[in-house]
Amino acid sequence: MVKRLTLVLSSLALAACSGGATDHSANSERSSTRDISSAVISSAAPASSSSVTLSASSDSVSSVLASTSSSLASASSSRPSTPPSGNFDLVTGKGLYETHCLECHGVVGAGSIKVPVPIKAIGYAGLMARADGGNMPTGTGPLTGAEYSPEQCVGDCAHQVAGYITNNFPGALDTGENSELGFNGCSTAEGAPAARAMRLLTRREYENSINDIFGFDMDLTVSFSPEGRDHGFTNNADIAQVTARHLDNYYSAASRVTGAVQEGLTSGKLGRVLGCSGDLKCVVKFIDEFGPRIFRRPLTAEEKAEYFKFFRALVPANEADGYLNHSQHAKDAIGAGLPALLMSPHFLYRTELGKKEGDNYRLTDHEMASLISYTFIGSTPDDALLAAANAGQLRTKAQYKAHAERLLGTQRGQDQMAHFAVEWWDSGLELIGSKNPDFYASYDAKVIQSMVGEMKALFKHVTFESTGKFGELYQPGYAMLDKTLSDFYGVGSVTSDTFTKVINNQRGGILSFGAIAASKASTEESSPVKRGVFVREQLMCDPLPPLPRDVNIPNPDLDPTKPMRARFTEHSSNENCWACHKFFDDIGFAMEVFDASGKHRDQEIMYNWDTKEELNRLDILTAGKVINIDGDDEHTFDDLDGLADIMTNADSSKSCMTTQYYRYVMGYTLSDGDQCAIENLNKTFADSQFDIQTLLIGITQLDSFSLRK
Amino acid sequence: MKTPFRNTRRRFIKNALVAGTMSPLAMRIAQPVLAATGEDTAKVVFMYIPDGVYAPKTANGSTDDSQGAWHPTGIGVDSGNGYAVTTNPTMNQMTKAFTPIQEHITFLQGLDMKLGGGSHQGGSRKVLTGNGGDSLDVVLSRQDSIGGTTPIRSINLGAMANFQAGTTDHVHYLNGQSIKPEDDPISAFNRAYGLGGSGVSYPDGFDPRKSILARSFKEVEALMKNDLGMDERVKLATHIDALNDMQKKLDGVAEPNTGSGNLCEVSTFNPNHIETASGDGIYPPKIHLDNNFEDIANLQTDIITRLLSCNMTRVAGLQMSHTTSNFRGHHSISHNFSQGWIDSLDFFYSFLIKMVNQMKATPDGSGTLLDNTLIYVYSCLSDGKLHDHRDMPFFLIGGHNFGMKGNRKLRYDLNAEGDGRGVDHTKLLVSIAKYMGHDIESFGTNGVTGELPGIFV
Repeated sequence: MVKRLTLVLSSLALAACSGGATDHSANSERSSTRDISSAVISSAAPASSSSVTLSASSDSVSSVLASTSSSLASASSSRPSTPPSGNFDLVTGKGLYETHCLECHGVVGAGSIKVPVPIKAIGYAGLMARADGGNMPTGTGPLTGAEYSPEQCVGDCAHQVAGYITNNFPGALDTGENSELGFNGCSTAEGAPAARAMRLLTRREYENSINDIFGFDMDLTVSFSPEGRDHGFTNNADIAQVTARHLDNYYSAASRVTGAVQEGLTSGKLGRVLGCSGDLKCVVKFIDEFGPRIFRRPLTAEEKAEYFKFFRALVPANEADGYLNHSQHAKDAIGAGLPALLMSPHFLYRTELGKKEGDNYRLTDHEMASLISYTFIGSTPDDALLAAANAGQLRTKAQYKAHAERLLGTQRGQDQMAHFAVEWWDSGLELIGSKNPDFYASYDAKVIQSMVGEMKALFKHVTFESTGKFGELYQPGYAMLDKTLSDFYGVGSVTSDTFTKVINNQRGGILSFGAIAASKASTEESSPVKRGVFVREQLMCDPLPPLPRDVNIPNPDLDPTKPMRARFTEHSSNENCWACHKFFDDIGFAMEVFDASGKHRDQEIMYNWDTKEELNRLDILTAGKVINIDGDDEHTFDDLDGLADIMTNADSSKSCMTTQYYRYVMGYTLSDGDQCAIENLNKTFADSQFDIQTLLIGITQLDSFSLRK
Repeated sequence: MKTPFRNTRRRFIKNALVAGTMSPLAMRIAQPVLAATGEDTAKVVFMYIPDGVYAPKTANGSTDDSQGAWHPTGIGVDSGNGYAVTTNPTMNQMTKAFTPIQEHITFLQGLDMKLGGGSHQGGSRKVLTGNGGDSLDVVLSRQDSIGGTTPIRSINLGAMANFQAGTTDHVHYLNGQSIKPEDDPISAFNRAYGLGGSGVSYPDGFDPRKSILARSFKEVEALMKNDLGMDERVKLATHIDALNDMQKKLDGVAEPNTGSGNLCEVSTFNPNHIETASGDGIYPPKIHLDNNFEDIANLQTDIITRLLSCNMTRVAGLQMSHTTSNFRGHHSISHNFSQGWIDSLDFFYSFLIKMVNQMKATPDGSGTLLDNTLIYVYSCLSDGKLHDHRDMPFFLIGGHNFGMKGNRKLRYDLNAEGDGRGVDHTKLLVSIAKYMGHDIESFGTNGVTGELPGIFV
């Protein structure tokens, strides 16, 4: 599978010199509509980022060649590779490479400025197939105009060149994890793809922040506007905007919080932090202590003075500040002043503005505290993070990592990662639909809530208690069920509300979550299209073209003699339909073993939905194939287990998790500029044998984590 | 009008030292210009009904009237201007519920939604935007001469519109982003009247909001000076607009009201004391329980009637559920013609009809609220089974003081625009804008200009 992908890609890369980049566009036409993670996979096609960087930093070919020469040594020494069998003379190989290949492929195989054709992930055998097989070298040299033809380098020449390339060029081997993921040789200094931004708190973040600041447990955001979602994620700052409704809702919440603060000044966290009540000093202390917690940074002197005015707004004009030396007056002062702090943009948004550093901006210590905190616990920085920021102890990757590890070690950290997973799986509480009670009587709100619990429980168990490996998310061999779901699914005999491991052969793993089956279904019927599209877009990160306009999209009629799959034959018989449906229909049909409510079924029961009469029972046809899973790889499967196996092993599903996590952490709409950051995170993930915690923490080690542009 | 804020200003100015930080030059505060009694002002309601109707198509793409169950029928008289007029049309199976109020309705046939995406979500994206970044209600609300004349620029409500809804299941847009309707009528009503929080009790008349707004404005403005990218600047500018809107509302609700008596008394809202609040650990929340739909929808139409009547706003939206509606299986039902589908639509229509009758019974200007209010009823699809956007089931109610005549069907000629299709629906959006006094020639990004002929008599 992987080999086929990489060979295809490298055959693109090694195409005729004179072909240049444009010849490959037809081969990658689908990738033009894909998002960033598939761009990583297919990025071995012509314009590699390294060649782009080179061309951007230099205006002459010779200087490009000179500058890349110096990196040759470090590239080869830092990336020891396993040489293929056979004897090579690297000096001879180098000479032959320079004679036959360099003019097009460049000094390090990354391509030259005029012909950016990198040598990618091909391995010794692939190179021999190209060179000794009579395809390479070929074309007209862009610098000298020399004509190259395949017979110029065959036999031992091809062998020596292949040996030289595989020993010296990173990315040219087909043996490691890196090439399997289609890495294109991004530098670890990936720059700053993310723009400086204001990130509006989500409802969840808002509520968590307030409750953490004051030690409360209040419901505050029930009537707030729901966020827009980007690939399931509610925290995309690009699409969040404050409208009049938001301000009203914020004020309403601030008022409630303020009332609770006034009542609780001497108890709980408030009492501990303040240790006082009822006088001017205490009002000042309130601002000193809670101002920085609310703004997630120290207040400036100007801010302190300005906000103090709010706190003394009820002091009569003929009175001095000493008026507040009265317990009721002090309490009123907090009532007048606290809403102002809570309505400030410095509370409502977490800033990622940074300080200028070279061409980029580096996030401030306190911005880093917020980024780490909202990433790993979905809330405002705790005292340890604020203290670290105050002390200038949040400036190194090691420091970021230490806090990330500390927070992931807490229940809250683990819950927050489960929250990430639920948004990645795009099947949260707000998305799981109602069902027709005439057919799904036992499906109720409690089941829906437990279905969300099931996803969280599995993610946490795999990541923090079991192997920690990616593959277990797809093929755990067990399900995490509570009593509600155990009863509803008819699997196991769990008797408590605690999610418990239930070994069974019906369900377990992402593809069998009740939440996904139920949210991608109508009130009566399962939806193979919605389910297949979900797998393609959310789990493989392969976005599909938008629905065509101006065409009829008829829903197939119910025919009691035909199972769902047979009713969708229009999709495969009409080439206009099939152009898109071929990517996801089979996947959806494999998931037909779950009905609209998420229950497992052996047969599809055909009902007359109006009369509720059962008409027929038909076998479910699950066998099919997944196409274009890694590049143009395709795999057949017999059933859902087979599909899960494919997903477990596919590069695209692994790198998709990376992409989705990166999307969640960074909180904006991704573009091509994020490719190298994601690729470097993919490397971290791959190097750990796809250990999830390593991925979760690994993002803090990216250069781009703390840099903005 | 009774509001808790009648004495706000006096007390506020006396006490709030921070008032000096107000920056009136930079903050665009439009004082409400309230209509005098007897004066007619145009108002508009955008009413969404989910998932299309039964409107099968013939080979040329027009509705097959011999089969369709929605478009009213009757002999049309060619106007010579690209459309035929049917007076006193016969209601079809899916429009029969409108018979009692058909004297107020203009049905439209032959409008297509062109360009943009397909199916449910594509239709929702473009039906009010014409594929542009802002929906028509938002554009109207931002006009100084429309939204600027009332304490709140517009209101955007829903009945279970956010329950089990995908992120692209709604129709209102601002800056290219979906704006979610408010599903909780109590919260929406309190918001409209500036009834803020309930947690703090202030001395009589004190309201910290105005000084908070001034401070926020200063801070947002300072953030904007950070050499930010265009996207961030748009975001912060939107925040400033919101601050202005809140300021405007606080000013507006303190003004005496000229509307029609009892409806404008805050205390008369929700006479049955329906409660909508539920904690966020509760699932589903009360506002999203099927059995509460009627109460919620009735309160929402009541709010719209009240706010329009009391000159609190001139632009309102209401979404019944959302596209691909899970409500009582509506989406599934909408795939095949059946009595169940007719019943389900009639259920949604019943709230509309009730609102129309309420408006008809409410004096406004020189006549009734219905005479001044244009209600645009629309869906995201034409035929629920075909999922197409041809010959959309659009219609207009009321607005008689501004040239709308009822009891008609206008059937636009197929291929009037030479593309073998119906008339681009953005022309209807232009007409609605003109109705509201916003004189534009084109709406959205379809590149079509002109209004829909024949609507105004």
